Amino acid sequence: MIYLDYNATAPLLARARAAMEPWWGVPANPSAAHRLGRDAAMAVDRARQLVADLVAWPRDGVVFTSGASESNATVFASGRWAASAVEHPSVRAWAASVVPVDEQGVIDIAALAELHDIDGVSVMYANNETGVIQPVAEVIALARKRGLRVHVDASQAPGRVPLGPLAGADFVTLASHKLGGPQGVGALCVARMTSPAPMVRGAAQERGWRAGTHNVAGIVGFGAASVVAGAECLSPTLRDRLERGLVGLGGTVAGGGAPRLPNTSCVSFGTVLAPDLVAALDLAGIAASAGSACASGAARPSSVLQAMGFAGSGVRFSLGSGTTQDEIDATLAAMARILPGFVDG
Amino acid sequence: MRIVCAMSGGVDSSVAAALLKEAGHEVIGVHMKLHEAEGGGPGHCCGLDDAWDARRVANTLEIPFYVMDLRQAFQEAVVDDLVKSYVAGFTPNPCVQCNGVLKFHVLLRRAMALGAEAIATGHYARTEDGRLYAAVDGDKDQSYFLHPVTAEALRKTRFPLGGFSKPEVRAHARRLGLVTAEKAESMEVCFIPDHDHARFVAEARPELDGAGDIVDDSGRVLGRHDGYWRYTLGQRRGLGLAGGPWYVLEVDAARARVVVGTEAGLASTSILARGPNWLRAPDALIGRPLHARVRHRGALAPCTIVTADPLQIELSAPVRAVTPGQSVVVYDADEVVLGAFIRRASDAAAVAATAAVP
Repeated sequence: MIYLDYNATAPLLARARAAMEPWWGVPANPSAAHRLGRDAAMAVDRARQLVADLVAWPRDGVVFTSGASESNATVFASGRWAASAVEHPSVRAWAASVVPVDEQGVIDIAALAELHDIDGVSVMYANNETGVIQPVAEVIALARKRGLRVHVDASQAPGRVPLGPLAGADFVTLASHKLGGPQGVGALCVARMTSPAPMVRGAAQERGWRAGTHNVAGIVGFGAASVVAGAECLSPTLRDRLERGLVGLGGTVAGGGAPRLPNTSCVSFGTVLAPDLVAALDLAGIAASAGSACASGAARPSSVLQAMGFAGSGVRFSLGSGTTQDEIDATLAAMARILPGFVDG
Repeated sequence: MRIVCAMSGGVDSSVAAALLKEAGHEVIGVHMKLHEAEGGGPGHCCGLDDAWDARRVANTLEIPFYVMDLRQAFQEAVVDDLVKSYVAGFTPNPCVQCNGVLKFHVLLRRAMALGAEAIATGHYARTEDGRLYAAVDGDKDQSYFLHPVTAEALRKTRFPLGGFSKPEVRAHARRLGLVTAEKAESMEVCFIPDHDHARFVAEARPELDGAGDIVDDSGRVLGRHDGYWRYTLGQRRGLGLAGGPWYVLEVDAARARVVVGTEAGLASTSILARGPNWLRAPDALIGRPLHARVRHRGALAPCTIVTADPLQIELSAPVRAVTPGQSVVVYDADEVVLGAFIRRASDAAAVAATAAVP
């Protein structure tokens, strides 16, 4: 199988797997008072430091969650938030108002400046479907002036683009499995002085931000993967090679005129429905997505592409550090074989 | 052979896929999402639960499975057509549209694009060499619904259940441990909540009034109705008329009138039909003794085809409530040789007169 669906989930890094292994063999509850508990607490805190280093965040501001969707829900459980029209569903589900995007999928800063009756604004670092990068620093600067809080969902960014623009955000969401760590773990980075507003309530784990026993092995794996992601910035060479080939086959790139992640390409082919192409690719041994993975079971049209006014439905190819040139060339050959069957209908 | 099997999430299509897999084919499961189902559950098809069931069966069979979004095609080919037909005074059969237009046209095209050589469904019917035959189990036979499927499409179609009875199919499902083994039948029109077609039409076309007179066949006004599309030929209940019993003999959309009369007025001996799908050459059929079915599970009535264009079919004995918009399917023994949509039915002389009008 040629795997071009890294934005759905990235393969587990060997370093993350190795780091996790020992923690499946011991009863490890970091809240326990005995030695096994203390060992686990130390492992969680070491991982906390590694994740904090990745985003240049104070260690104690990193709250571990079950994943990015929970991190997002924790932010929005209090206050009235505006969110861009292309945010992940786990953000849009909570948004009190929506900030439109232009045809490239970039947030309309002027429209954001006009919004009232909100406490904060949420903008993703990079879009999961198109890879389009948002002007996060600009949004933060505007929010500062207006006294608004800022949340940045950076799930798709680590290991792909520099994370400097996150500085000054009040909340940052991270997902372990998008950067090569295990699934079922995420982080919410909270600014130092923010008082806890937990969504999962109960005992005082994570300094009151998130109740529930820690996923110790998962958190340790997340930390190990963060080290790898922090040392990496993916090159766009292979993605560009793929994209040139797809455009040559008649494809149109969503958000092609905006700054984008170096690994993502969302391409539409006229009236051909992306889910059909994804099925044909799957049968050819190539894993890609139609829009985001979350939406594919329901076979809905992509709300991200709709918000951009992008006609047609896009196949998302997302690459990673394991992708090879041979795989890209094989994918282009398969697309050249597959497309005529759909276009003629 | 690579075969795309339509998997609704019901027991029939589940077993169809399983039988093909057992026969050694490379089976690809496809669930067609046709509409926004409200609730779903027993008596519906194509709901969210059904997609889940279909996926679970595909996983059990270890075959690839995809959901195809055919909502727009379904809306145009089935839903819009249904509304248009009722508004024009006909009583449409959406299942026929769904089969003829969607399952065996759109799906076939997409299946070919996926590199498949054939498609398969869980219908109870048989096909061979571009011909269509009734299922072995006469009680379950669905060949009536399949009449618009062209010979070309039939050549690329498999009906794995055509030789089985329903209990045999359920037994297969149990043997294979399929989650759909005990699932209830879907019997109703899948996209109309409460099966209230009149309300569905009224909501789709709120600007239409449709109210008018209820008259007898001499034009005498007997009462009022609040939307002619609420009535179908042969209907007796809900007319609210004194005397009787009265039966609906005609729905006159142009004048928003519902014509009623005695039950004797429902008998027809001749049918004028449109949109024929000839599965045998007309010349080989005209004048020969054949049998016609004018409703699903209806009796087979001896008939002959009089002319091919316009298509006129004569019934040897009067048949009750031959309803415009429904299908007339002509059988030669157990073979479907022709299917078409009923335009008008009456005694032979009247049909001939109608046919002459341009």
